[in-house]
Amino acid sequence: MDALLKVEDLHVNFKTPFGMAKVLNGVSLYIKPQEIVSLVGETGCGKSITAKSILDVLPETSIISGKISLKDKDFLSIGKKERRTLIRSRIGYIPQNPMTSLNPVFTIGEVFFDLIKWHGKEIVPWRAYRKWKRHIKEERDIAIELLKKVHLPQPEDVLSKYPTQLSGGMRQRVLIAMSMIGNREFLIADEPTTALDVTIQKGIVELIKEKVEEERLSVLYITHNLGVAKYLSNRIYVMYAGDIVEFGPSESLLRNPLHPYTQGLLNSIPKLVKTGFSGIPGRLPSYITPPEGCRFSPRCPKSMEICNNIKPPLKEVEEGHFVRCHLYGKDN
Amino acid sequence: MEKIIEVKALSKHFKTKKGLTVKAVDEVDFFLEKGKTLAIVGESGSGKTTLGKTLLKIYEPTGGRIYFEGKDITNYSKDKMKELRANLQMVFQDPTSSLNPRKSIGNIISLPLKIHTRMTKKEIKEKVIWLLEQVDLSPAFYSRYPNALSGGQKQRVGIARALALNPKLIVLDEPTASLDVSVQAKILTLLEELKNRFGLSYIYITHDLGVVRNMADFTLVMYLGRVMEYASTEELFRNPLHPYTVALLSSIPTIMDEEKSTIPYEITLSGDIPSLTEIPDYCRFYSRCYKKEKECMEKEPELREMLSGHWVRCIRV
Repeated sequence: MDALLKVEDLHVNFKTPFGMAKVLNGVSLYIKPQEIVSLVGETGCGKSITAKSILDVLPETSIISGKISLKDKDFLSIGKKERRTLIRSRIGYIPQNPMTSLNPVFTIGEVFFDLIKWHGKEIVPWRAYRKWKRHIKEERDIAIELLKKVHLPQPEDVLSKYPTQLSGGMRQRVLIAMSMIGNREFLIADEPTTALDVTIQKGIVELIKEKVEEERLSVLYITHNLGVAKYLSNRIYVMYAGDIVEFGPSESLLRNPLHPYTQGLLNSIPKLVKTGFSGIPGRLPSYITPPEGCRFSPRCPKSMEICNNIKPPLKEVEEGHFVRCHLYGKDN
Repeated sequence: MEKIIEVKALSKHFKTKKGLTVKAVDEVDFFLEKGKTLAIVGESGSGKTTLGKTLLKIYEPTGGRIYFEGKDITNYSKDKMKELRANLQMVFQDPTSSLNPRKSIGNIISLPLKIHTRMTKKEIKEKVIWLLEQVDLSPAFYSRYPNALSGGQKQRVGIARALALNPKLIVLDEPTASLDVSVQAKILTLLEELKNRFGLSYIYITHDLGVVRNMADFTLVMYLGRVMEYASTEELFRNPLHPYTVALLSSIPTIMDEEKSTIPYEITLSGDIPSLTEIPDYCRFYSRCYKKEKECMEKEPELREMLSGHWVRCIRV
């Protein structure tokens, strides 16, 4: 198996006035070429930190260790400048909130042309920039081409508009178009539909799926919506408090959730049939003093003695379906 | 059957600076039986929240009538409303911005008691601690401030505040929209318990049809200020008639296979919800409808009772 992106044993700690916050606790994941992988979890579980680690945009208070590699090239061992150039030219990013992700004082076109011309560059030479800015032709054609790809009507008009003149769904389409600049092969989408209505969400999710198939992209899709994850992805990773607790093919993971956290999460979702729902007691542990052993153990209804002391290893229960839980030990 | 609240042709129109009229709520009719839950669903901009606020006379209605327990309260003055206010409470959408960050939780919950009752300080404190217990918060929260609370805890405080004056009807405006599902499930369970314990009636404003299915007895689907469909929740999910309702159902990303049976067919709406200032005089859903015909442009359809208790505003049904 050749993984396009591979994250191995990623630890991210943050320096805080109260001590070291140990957020990511050995995250490992891989994404094969042309695969959509969802990373699912609740607020504060470390989903976005994982994405930010891959994109190298963590704040300076962070301490990162582990291995992140794109096509066998290890990001963390190369120099900062080379790393950033590599990341910016190869990885596309769709942000969470389309309302705040576009600068309101520039038109869509101004931002778009800059991105097309200078994408992947660490530093933009000022003089060359001013000279170029006076006659933009090529970039306009590329931008219109990309906006057509995301099914925006009248792309020429959109380019001359300011972000506030567009609706949320249209802005998210513009951002998806921007993420596809420069033949990227890998996309990170960080909850791109959370801020949108369900009817709009459906259109955006379908668009992402269509583009991924057309352009042969691979995607790491971060979401808290298991329904969206099921619709989009081949495989799902479930994250809790900085740990990957379970992962596997979407079908098998949702049909047969193994980890008590995944089960709790699935039971919490109000469904379209009257099945009722139960929440998960307690709340996320503090990252400064996380529980020893399994981080879910204080909230787990099936917690055992061993869970409080030893972090469970990953165990393959079905084909490709792994779980990190002591319930699935060697004997049973 | 006792009606707790009934509205007839209720409207709330706003005037913009440019002189345009925004018909946020346009001739809405419904009633709610005592002890039941009515869900109001629709996209953002459909007038759900405005309807909720107009019901409680937080906004003055511009047309129509509101009856609370049979009494016409439409023209009640501020003073008269104040007496009634104890019966009609609201829980707001964003728990963070609806709690004053400079006041302690004890202070926040006791404010309605200070305004509306003549209880002594000691009695108020006892009542607040009792209220905290009702929403499963420990008395230690009394002296804490909102920033020390998680989203779920803040929403519990919002609920405790709404309960303080022993209301009969609570309007819940997307109380779980900003919460995680595992927290949402606990808040929803709490709301069910409180409803049974205190004999409350709820008007539940939401866009989450999964929540509606599990919480509400009746459902009102709104689009651009108008009621598009109204039926008991059972009936609506078994037999959705309006194209908009079907589109809403179909846009839910489902997890279980059983859920698919409630969706008659797959449909993705194109385009966004139109502006409230540009409402056509024919069917409002026309621009996004996938079943439209020429006749839909002739006039605005009436809300018709297609089956017993199942009202639809569409001529194509």
